[in-house]
Amino acid sequence: MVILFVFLDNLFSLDYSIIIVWCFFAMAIFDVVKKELIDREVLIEKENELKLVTSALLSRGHVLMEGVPGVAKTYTSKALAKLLGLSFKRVQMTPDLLPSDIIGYYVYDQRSGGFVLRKGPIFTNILLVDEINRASPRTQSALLEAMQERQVTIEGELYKLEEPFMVIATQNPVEMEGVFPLPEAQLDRFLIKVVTGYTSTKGLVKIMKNADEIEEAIESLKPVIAHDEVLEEIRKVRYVRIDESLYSYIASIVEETRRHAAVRLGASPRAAIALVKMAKAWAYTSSRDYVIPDDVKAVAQPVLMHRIIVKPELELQGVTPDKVVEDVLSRIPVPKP
Amino acid sequence: MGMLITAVSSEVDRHTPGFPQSVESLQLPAILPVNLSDVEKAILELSKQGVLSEEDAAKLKGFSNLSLQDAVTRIGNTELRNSLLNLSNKGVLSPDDVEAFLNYLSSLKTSGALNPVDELLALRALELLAKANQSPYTSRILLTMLSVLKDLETQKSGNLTTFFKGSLQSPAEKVFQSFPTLPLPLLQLPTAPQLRLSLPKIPYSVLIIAGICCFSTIALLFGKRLAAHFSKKLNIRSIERMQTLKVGDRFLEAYWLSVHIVSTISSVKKVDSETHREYLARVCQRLGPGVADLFRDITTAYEEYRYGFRAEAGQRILNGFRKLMEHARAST
Repeated sequence: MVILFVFLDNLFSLDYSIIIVWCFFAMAIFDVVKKELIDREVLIEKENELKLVTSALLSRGHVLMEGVPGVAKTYTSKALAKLLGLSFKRVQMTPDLLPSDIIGYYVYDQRSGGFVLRKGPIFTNILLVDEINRASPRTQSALLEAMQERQVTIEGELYKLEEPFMVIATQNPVEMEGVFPLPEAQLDRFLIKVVTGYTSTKGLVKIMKNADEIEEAIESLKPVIAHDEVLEEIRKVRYVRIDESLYSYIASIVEETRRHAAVRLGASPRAAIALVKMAKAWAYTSSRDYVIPDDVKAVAQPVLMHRIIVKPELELQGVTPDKVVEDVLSRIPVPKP
Repeated sequence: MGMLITAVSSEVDRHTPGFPQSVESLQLPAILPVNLSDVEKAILELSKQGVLSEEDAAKLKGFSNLSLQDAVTRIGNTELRNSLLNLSNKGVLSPDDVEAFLNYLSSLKTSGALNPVDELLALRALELLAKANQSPYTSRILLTMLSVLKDLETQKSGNLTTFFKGSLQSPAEKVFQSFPTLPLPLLQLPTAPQLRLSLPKIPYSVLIIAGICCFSTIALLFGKRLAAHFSKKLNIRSIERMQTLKVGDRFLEAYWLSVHIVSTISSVKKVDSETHREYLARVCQRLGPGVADLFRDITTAYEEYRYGFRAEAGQRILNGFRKLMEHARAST
């Protein structure tokens, strides 16, 4: 390859970096996903959500999706998994759900006369956990531990989860009856929180017209990227370049969330790491191999929103974490020169 | 402003010395020169029209060539003749003497003891005396002669001749009407009508305050635009003079100078918390398509150079900056 570069360089006076960049983005993952789902109108007005989820997948993170029922949370996760050739499972959380229902358990096999492992739904690439706040704290903890460690222990035996592994947990912001809100420490485990809203009237009309076709299209989606290629993409994201000044910029943002007058609990160092990871992935999905301040700003809301706790008295006045993040971003100067 | 008004209102009225303070006091000093031949022509015209009798015409014959002695001899009024002889015996005539004699003539005329021919002869004699003494009253005397002739014609015919109509009109009327048909110069009588318009006396303080108000209004209406225009020019010139931005990298300097140029052109300043793309999006709305494209290229190249570590993008920033600079120079 190097010989080829040198040859081309001598022949056309090309810069190596141009060729490297070309190779780097030859298989840009989001371009493929976008083409199949957004351009073909399988998912309508969900480009930003899809880009965030794809970026989270490339950052090896988990997603907390917040939205009222019926805003294509499941469709988004399912379509993404299918396109990327990844396994997909779904768990509907209920208060009586046990940790073993998720991670698996041993059962006695009469034929073999021994215990065999019955793997839970967690043994998949993309796990959609519907209404995570309906599960008991015990089950939530077991799930979140698996999310963090990327491994589960069943009857003393350690099982590594398959890579890539991503949990997309959904929660309904309206229902408060019979739910167990996730503790702050556990919320921190989610790389991003994506707030899914309603589509516009125009989008809604399109959905209504093509409801059956959309359902069929999702069912008939074929993988466009092989499983190994997804892993390769994840590896590439690690090499996205980020300037020293942007680390300082991110640090200033995170520190400012702690100093903010309306905040009771600001963003943690884990939040800063998450911001770096997501900024890199966002840059990558935007077909760049370097991070710019816009990438940081684009992912700051989803990364920091669920990690900030606003003072109760100000919360009553309508101050929300996303407003705090917005305020912080408007105050921190971007790197100069 | 308050202090200025107080200072101004406390002052007494001032004016430039010698400059009239009102229209009323303004006299028309200039009297157009009248020749003696013009008077004689007028006499001849009146003789032709029959306004003057043969006897009177004979008395006035050779009017312009009359000597002092002849003029005095032809005067019928003895009192007047004696007065003139006394005046000639006096030797040097002062302006007061002339003025006094004219007043004397006027009083005689009013009392009816003076006929127009005697008056004309007396005026001719006075004119000769005044000329001998180089008195500035010569023109006035000649005009009085014309006035006498005019009166004579009015008395006899009841109508003004074309000549007198033209010569005795007010200066304002003369401007708008045709010149007289007689070959006489344009005349202006000493008793030119004065403007009776009396302007109210306006205190200077009021004038100054009104001036300030007018200036403020004009400044509000046009000042900002003009100031912005000049400010743009100055800013562009300052960039030309600017050697370095102390960044230490000429490519980065070129980008920041480009930001300075577009912010000057569009009056959209870059906010510190704003990213380069956010600023680009905001500023492009206020820029022309050519400059917007140019600045878009510069911003993209800057990002590649600054964050993407692409050395070749530096030259693109520099090229873009040069083009932008040329455009800025051309547009301001």
